[in-house]
Amino acid sequence: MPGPELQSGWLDDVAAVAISGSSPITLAVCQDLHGVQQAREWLQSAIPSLTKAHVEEVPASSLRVRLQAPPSPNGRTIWCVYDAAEGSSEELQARWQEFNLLRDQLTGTLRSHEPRSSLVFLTTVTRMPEISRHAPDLLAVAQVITVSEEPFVVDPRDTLMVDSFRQASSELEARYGLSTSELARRLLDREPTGVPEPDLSRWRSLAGALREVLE
Amino acid sequence: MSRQAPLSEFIARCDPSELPPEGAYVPRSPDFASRLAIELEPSSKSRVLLFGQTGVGKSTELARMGRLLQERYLVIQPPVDKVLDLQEVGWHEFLIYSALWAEEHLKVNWLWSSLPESSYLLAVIPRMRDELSEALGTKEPSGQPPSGPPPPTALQRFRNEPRHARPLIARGPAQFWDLASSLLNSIAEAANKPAVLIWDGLERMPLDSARNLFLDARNSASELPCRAVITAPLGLSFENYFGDIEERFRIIERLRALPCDPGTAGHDFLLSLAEARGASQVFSRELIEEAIRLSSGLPRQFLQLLSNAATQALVDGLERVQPESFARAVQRVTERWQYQLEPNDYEALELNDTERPSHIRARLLRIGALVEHDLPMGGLRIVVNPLVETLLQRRRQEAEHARA
Repeated sequence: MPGPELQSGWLDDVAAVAISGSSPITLAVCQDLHGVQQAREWLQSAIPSLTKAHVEEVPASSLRVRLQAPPSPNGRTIWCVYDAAEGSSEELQARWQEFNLLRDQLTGTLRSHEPRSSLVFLTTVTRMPEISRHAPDLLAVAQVITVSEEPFVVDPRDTLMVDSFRQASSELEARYGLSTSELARRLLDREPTGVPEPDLSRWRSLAGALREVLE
Repeated sequence: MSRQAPLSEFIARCDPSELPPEGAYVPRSPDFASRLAIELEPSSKSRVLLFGQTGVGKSTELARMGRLLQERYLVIQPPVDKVLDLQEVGWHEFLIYSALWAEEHLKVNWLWSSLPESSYLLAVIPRMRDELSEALGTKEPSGQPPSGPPPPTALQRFRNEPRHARPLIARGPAQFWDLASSLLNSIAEAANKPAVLIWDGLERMPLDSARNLFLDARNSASELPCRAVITAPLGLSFENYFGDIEERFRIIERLRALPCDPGTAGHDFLLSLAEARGASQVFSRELIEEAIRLSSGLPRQFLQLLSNAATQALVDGLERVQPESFARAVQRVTERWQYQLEPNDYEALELNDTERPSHIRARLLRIGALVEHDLPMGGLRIVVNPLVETLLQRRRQEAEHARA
């Protein structure tokens, strides 16, 4: 029997982690090549709207050369390697073994850019077992996000996650003397909620993530 | 200052793939780096073989040891694991690369300028380097350099084509060994300090390659021209031939995951590590405690959990890390194992450690799915990483669900 499949983010999360994540390298694992194409287009449009940065597409075969070139003069850059999961098994092996060896040079170079650049490898679920065999050390220092096509939702079977989200939303319910369903009704009817903005936004995202649990 | 600035600052201080920033190093108790430094002292034949799985803190402790030694020793720490092919590498390549690396880096940094003009070493060291490069077929062409970028140095040529050198070395290994040793000795003489080699990252070697290096070619290790600390894959220490390897190394050291129970030195260490990075500004004490529990005593995993949680909180628009951001960070840090673990790995993880085949145990330790701890009264205990345990629980649930 294979292992469980966790999905930790959707396209917005990939963009956000590429911009703010602690590691400058992200592996965005899409469901298939169509998902890769979607993610590629999403990053191109989402990143400039989220921050002062632009996306530079780098073919996997040119990454080493790009690494040695000077940083882009146009400010913060997010490199997007869109074809990292394409090709035969032999090509994949050679490519990811090379990336594995390059990991420190990559993180060092990306960090040395002012402002810091980052790198997103777009890959697919089916090629990840091979990639993880050839680049285990890169995986250990990168951020891995399995990309879902929908905004993040807590899996009702994941008891740890359900408990954390429920606890957080119960605390807000207690603090404001309001149930989550009552909050949703007031928001829908455009009635005042009495909840100040940072907490309101947090509560909404908690309720959104718990949508399959609350149903 | 933006209300999210403390989160951004924490993330910047908390990159798990980096050595600790200045002032953020926390010594272990007892002080491991000092112990290594003391163990190297007795003679130039001192060799330390260091075992410890990825993320346990070896590089941090070796960097600290290097700083402790640098006043009295010439510390040479070339990035061997990033340049040489660890699947197929011998002691000769390690030594040659280290000698060329030392020559190029120390020349640039300080060594040449500090030597008096009359020093014979000013002529001897470049001559040895050229001799070594020529034998390797990596010497730059002589004569007037053409216009354009400078030709690659001997080190760059060796680094770009380490495989090219292997058949050449095989023709006269003793000659290469002597040349590289002489070059290293001359550099140490120029520095007026004995040399210490640090070869870190060898724990990533596949077990078969490590066996070739540490067992079949073990005699060369004892012929190294100076003190050395060498890391090795943990799986090697579970093999029945390990005794033969032990004989060749003066000292075997193990850096194991820290105990995480409250009141233990390991728990206090992780707490201090979090404090040194400023975690209390953005985390509640409960979440830091939860991160300690889930870290399995691996400092890197601990920092990964904290930095991912802070990133998630930043993305969620929060000012501090909340339980839901932390829960998502736990899932994200766990995610890589779902791709690294194969069906037979899951089966092995469900077994008692004594029942696991040694090659699977070695692999699981290498990818961090299993974690090696010290027992309080001595000996070792191998446990499933708590993050991987969450995957196992999910898998059990799914199996039950499928059966139902």
